[in-house]
Amino acid sequence: MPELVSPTRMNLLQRKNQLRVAQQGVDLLKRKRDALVSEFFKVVRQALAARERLNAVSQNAYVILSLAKAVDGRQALEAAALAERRPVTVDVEIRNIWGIKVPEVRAQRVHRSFLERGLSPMATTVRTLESQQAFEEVLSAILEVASTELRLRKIGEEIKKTTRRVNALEQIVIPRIRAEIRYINDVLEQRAREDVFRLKRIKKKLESRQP
Amino acid sequence: MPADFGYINARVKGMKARLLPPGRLEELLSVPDLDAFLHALTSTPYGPELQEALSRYRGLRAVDEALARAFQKAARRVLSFADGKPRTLIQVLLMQWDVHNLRAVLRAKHAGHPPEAVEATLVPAAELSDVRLRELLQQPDVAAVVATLVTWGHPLGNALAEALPEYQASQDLLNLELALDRAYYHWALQASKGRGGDAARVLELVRTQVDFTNVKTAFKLQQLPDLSPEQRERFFLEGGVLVTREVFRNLADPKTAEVGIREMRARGIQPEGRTPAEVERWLEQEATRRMADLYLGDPLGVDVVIGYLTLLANEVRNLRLIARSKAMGIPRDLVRREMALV
Repeated sequence: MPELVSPTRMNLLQRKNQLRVAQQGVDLLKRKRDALVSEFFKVVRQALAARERLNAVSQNAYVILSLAKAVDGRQALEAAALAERRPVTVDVEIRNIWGIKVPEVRAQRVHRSFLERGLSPMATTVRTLESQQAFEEVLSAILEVASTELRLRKIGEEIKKTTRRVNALEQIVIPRIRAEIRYINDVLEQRAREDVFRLKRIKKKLESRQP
Repeated sequence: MPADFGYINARVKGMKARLLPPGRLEELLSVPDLDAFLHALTSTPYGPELQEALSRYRGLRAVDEALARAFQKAARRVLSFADGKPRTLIQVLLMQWDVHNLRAVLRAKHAGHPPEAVEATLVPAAELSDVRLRELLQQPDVAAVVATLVTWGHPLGNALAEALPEYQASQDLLNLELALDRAYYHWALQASKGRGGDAARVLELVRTQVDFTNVKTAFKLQQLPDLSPEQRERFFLEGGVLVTREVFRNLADPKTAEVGIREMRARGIQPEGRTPAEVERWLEQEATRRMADLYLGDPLGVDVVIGYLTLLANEVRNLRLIARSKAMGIPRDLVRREMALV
């Protein structure tokens, strides 16, 4: 609404300043977005590789589990799962990418020996141990997928936010400031013309009064 | 109730007729999918159990339930035919299911799992019936479970009671589980001692089982290079013939495994392959083959019962394998490799 702006020189200078800042902002945001997009594609590749690894290890783990369930019986497998477990500790480190706080999830140690799993080697078959090991591999792959996809989501959200900001500046803020500058310029020029006209009239009147 | 193996074997031979005829497994292996497998299984002696299981579960779970129920029913039926010494000998064969059940109950009580999380893991195929297992699950802790077993006069109760103080001091359930395994083999060796060919046959079987278990344990322990020799020896089972403490010590240590393998082979245990999985598969298949062959042994001895129970367990295992191959698309070769006898 340029009409709401008071058409003063002070406002004109302010608007020009605002326009410069906004253009600089757009430039900076575009550069940030480019950097984020490049980071995004890097993480996308990692995420795809992590997903592929998860799919492969899951498929393998389910086949091993199925064979173990078939040979040892579902009951034996489920009884093994009742054993005391050592917790898997996960480290979450916050990384800063272009001002975005991105969590990185890393497990200290996912793989455990059967003794750490609380299982007696006398009573647990190799198939059961192998299926547990295979699912520890799945857990490790899940943590990798979680870490990369979380990073991907955060960067994606930030790209969206930055694009929205760039669009808002380019489509709304900058055109509005330009319109305001144009309006103030128009009004000031009009005033200047009126002043010239008035001065000319006064000059003419003064000249006509002189003998 | 008649107690001699002549009567028991006559009943068992009747039950053997209900096992799937040769070639039927091959037919089942060639059906296109799980639905076709379920349909084909309905027309076998497993049909009634499968129908019942399908009313509560779907797919693989129904197959597992039906096969487990059929096995439990048959095992308890065989046990019900006998009393006196024959019953004790059959109990020796089935007691491993009680060991499995007790282990699950002890783990659940130790880790604080609710009874309903454990019920599905139990196989009441031996002395401990459904009702007794539920009673054990209602006990508040490990000590109460052991006390209940002692009250019932269960063969493994006293050994667990002896190991209880150590468990209570260390809170390490592995100690109690090892005591349970040792108690089972100790009891099995004691119960199968006595005069007569049947006792000798079961004793030989238990000794072989101890030897094979020691070999399997030793190969698993080779994967843990940081254990001390004392920690490895903790898992040795007494009572075997071929695998002595010395052989086990060498076999279980990755540094001396080669010597151990040579000693083991020299004593007649000659598994194919070197990895724990290959050795375990060979030992299991060898044990199954030896025990299944006994079905054609002495018609008036325990051989027929041993043979039948092994053939039944093997059939159940093969059917579970086929069901999974149909449901998960596991390659036929992989399934066939795991099948002990076809």
